[in-house]
Amino acid sequence: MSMESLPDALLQYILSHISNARDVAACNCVSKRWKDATTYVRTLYFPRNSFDNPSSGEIPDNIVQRMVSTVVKLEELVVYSPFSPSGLASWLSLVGQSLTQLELRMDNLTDNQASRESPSKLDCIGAAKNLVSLKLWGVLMINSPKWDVFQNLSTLEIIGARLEDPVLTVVLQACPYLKRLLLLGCEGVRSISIELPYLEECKLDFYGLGNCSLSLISPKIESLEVQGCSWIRVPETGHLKKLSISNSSGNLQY
Amino acid sequence: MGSPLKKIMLCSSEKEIFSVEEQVMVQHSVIINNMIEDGSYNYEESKIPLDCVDSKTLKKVIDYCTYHTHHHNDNQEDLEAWDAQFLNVDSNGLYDLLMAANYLEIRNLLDLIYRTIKNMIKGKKIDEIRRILNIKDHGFTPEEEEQNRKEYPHFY
Repeated sequence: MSMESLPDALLQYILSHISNARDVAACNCVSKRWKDATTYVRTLYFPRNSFDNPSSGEIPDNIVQRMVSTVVKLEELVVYSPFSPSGLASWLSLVGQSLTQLELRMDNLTDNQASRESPSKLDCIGAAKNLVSLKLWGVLMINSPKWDVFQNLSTLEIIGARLEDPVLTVVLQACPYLKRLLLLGCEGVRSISIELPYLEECKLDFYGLGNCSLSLISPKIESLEVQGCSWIRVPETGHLKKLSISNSSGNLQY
Repeated sequence: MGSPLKKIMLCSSEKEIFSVEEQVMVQHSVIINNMIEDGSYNYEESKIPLDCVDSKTLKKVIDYCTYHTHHHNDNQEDLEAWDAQFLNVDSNGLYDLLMAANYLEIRNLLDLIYRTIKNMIKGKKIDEIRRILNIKDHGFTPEEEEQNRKEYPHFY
């Protein structure tokens, strides 16, 4: 007996654990049964170089959309390859409801046009209402995203961002149930007040003069790491187990 | 948990009997564990019939379970090297092992086979995957096959 005769359930189980978009697409072409089975993948991961190979001349946005559209219930989408706001909007209109984990390399930090795009990439993410985890790389955050509340979001990670205080405030208001917040390599923050009742882990690393001020009201906070703030106020620390405060420049005032 | 001294009998599709330490199978196979626990196995008379597992495959499955029972404290690297050597079989052999592991519900062996198949697919072209896994009938119409080639020319 050969692999050709694998029962459907086993084939589905095996292929549902393949996540690299290139391999999923290849499985789609192996046989008709494999194509049917790959509709059960749960994660699609598009590496940075996904579209480096000269392909059929199709634009990357459309290839991602075609792949996303074949999946019955996509739970995790990771896109490191370049994409446009309209591409993201079209994918999330298909799988926004089922997604629980989304990770995007936004790559619009130095893009001047990005600040005028409407809807922006950031706006589009709002369609993934059931996210549990959101991770963004290289984000321009100078316009407040039009988001409703993410009812299930417990982890937010932003790595590399240019942002403004009011925008960060709006973002955090949309994520009231966060347990884990990471803002790393963020520039533009001057004064930020965080009030997140369920927050347990918080790691902030702000670039700039090192003179940001931070107020954190999170009674359940267990781990707090802060870099780049010179004025820190954390009134409720009953559960705090780990504290790290450092500064690369400026003065630290206790 | 079974006693280390007790043995149980497994019977392959060719009616060949294999005597195995009970503990070895109980630790790895969910269904054998259930049989021992609910008392449906009689040590005097019973042999567990495995009609869909041939002798060659059953011997390998027993080897796997025995090794992992007695070497579970070995370092990860050594175990992985042993596993890789163990699964150095052709695709038909892999299929037989997969079906046996699935039937006996041997979770760690199943996971190992899943990972192996995943790695066999990784980065490969369509014809290579079909050849490695011995898939002869792809079931696509000529038009569908043509469409696939158009959408993903670099896979061919």
